[in-house]
Order: sequence, then structure tokens, then C-alpha cells
Amino acid sequence: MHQGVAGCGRYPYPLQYQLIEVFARQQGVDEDQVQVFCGSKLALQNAVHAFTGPRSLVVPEPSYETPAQTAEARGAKVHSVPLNAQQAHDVEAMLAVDPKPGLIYLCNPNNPTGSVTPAADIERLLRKAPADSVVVVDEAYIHFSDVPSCIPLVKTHANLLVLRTFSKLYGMAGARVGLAVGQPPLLEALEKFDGYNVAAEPSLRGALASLEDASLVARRKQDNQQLRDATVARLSRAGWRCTASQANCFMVDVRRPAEAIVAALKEQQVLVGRVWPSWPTWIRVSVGDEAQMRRFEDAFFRVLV
Amino acid sequence: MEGLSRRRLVGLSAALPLLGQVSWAAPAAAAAAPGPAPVRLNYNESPFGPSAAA
Repeated sequence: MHQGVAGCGRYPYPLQYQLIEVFARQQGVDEDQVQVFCGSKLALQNAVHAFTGPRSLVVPEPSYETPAQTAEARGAKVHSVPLNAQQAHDVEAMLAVDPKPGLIYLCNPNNPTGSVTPAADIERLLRKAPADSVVVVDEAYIHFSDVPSCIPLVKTHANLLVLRTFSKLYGMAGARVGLAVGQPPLLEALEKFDGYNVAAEPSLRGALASLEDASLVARRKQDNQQLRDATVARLSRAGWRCTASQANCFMVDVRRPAEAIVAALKEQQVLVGRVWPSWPTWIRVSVGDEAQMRRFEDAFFRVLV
Repeated sequence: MEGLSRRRLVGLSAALPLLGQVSWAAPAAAAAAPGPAPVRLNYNESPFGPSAAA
């Protein structure tokens, strides 16, 4: 990444093509089925711009808010469908809410709950969804989980778009690199809003090095799982209900207005995530390192005596 | 300012440079001791940053 700073005087398209080539080879897809964006958020926003407007957006609730916010800004109808009892996407309800949506958004594992939706459910949704309704599967947190990726399904589903990011397990949130995987017509629709832009050279070099670091995913997945599950186990033993997370975040039901608990934790110098209005008594906690999780637990039990 | 006499205003004006000196000359020890840096568990970032290879 340091080496990339010297190259910032040029548009680094060759490196972007190299990143696409490496990712496509690793994932077993064609290079024209992969595009790079300055963060997967941008690919997601472009998808909402491209496929909603006259037609609606279907989202799970609670979930990552960006697609709904973007659709609302365009005046598109947004259908929010609550997660089911297993905290997975309720795919039947998502299909039923609108027979001809423009875009159906799935996030697997889901942000903010960290909960996962079985692959069979996603495949069923893909089979049943109208062929001209685009299905976006946001796999920002997939590396932390045991669920299979939907990328292999891109070959057989022309309406499937899978999103990946370097912001989570790869630790490059500030470098802004994301990928969209889909058949060329879908990617071309996104590019109408992105103009075949290019990411910064330090970011592209960091992304390439991350893909070529053969042990990184397994090592960080294990560390995250160990810290997350230990924290969740201690909270659960103390009587606090947590989501069944396979991501680098989880939610805790604090059984009172969560905004006040977020503020109280902040006074203890512990910043936790925002509150989702549909789950007003739950806080979202990102998984940090061991010392950070210890400070979170200390503050949590001080605040919630 | 309407409640202040001219003498009082003059007195305040004379004190202003002193106030400035007091403020700027305050010993470092008088500042509040910095607490621990906040723990940021609010944006699902990795605590480990980019791969060492990056």
C-alpha cells in the first residue's frame, strides 16, 4: 500500500484489471463478471439507482440501511420484511410482498444481527423471483461465516448480483474497495452511474495483497469467532439475549431503550453501533480485539447492573 | 453592556490581556488528564487493519 502512494499521479487501471483477474480466477468466474468499486456501498447504491424507481425495493428488517435510504431518496417504494424467528431472511414473505419488485436485497450474514440465511432459502428465492427482478446478495461478512457464497450461482442466474468488500475481514474500511459479481449486462447497468471509475492505487495494492495472503481469511475468521463467541457466552450466562451471529458483530437485547445504553456506554469510552428503530431495545456490538472486548464487557456490566 | 459603568468597562479592558496570559500560561499539569482512548466497536471494522503483506 505504501508503494502505491508514489503511483497516485496516475489512474491505476492496470492494477484494477489485475485485481479483477486474481479475484475471478480464485472464484471461478469470468473476468467480465467482476467489477471494482470504491467500496461495495457504491455498487449497492448504483444497483438501487439502476433497478428501482418505478419499481420497488424489498429489504429485510433489520438490515443494512443503505439500499432503503437510497431508494427512498429516489422516491421508490420500499417494502421492509421482518426477519423470521430464526433471524434469517423470510424469503417467502419477501417474495410475496411485491410480485414485480425492481430489486430484492439480501445480506448474508446479515448486518446488524450477524445471523445467516440458509443457502437453500436463497436458492429458492432465486428460483421464484421474477427473471427481471434483480437480487442483490451482500456478502460483506461472508468470510466470518460458514455459509456458502452465492458467487457460483451468478453463472446460472442473470438477475443475481453478489457484493464483496475489503472493509471487514480484510481490515481496509478506510481504503474503500469493493467488488460486484454478476453477468455483464448487470454490471454495465451499474457502470451507467459509476462511469468505469477506478479505485486508488494504495487501495488496489492492499486488496491484491489481501487476496494473495493465503492464510489471512482462516486466521482472522478463527480469531473473530473465538472473541465473539466468548463475549456472547459471558453475556448469555448473565441472562442477556444475543443474536446467533456468524459475523464480526452481534446484537444484545438490553431490555430497555437502547439509545440510552449506547449513550451510557459512550460515557464509559466504549462506542457501540447505532440502534435500528424496528429493534429499539437491541444494541449492535462490533467484535474488536481481546482488550477491546474486555473493556466492552466491563462497561456493559457497569452500565447494566 | 448597558448595565456596566464606564469605570467597570475600563477595568475589564485592562484585565483582558492578563486573562489571555493566564489562559495561555496555564501549566500543563492543570489540564485534565487524558483518559483511555475510546473503544470503537461501532462500525464493524477490523481491529487488525490491512494484511501485513499489504
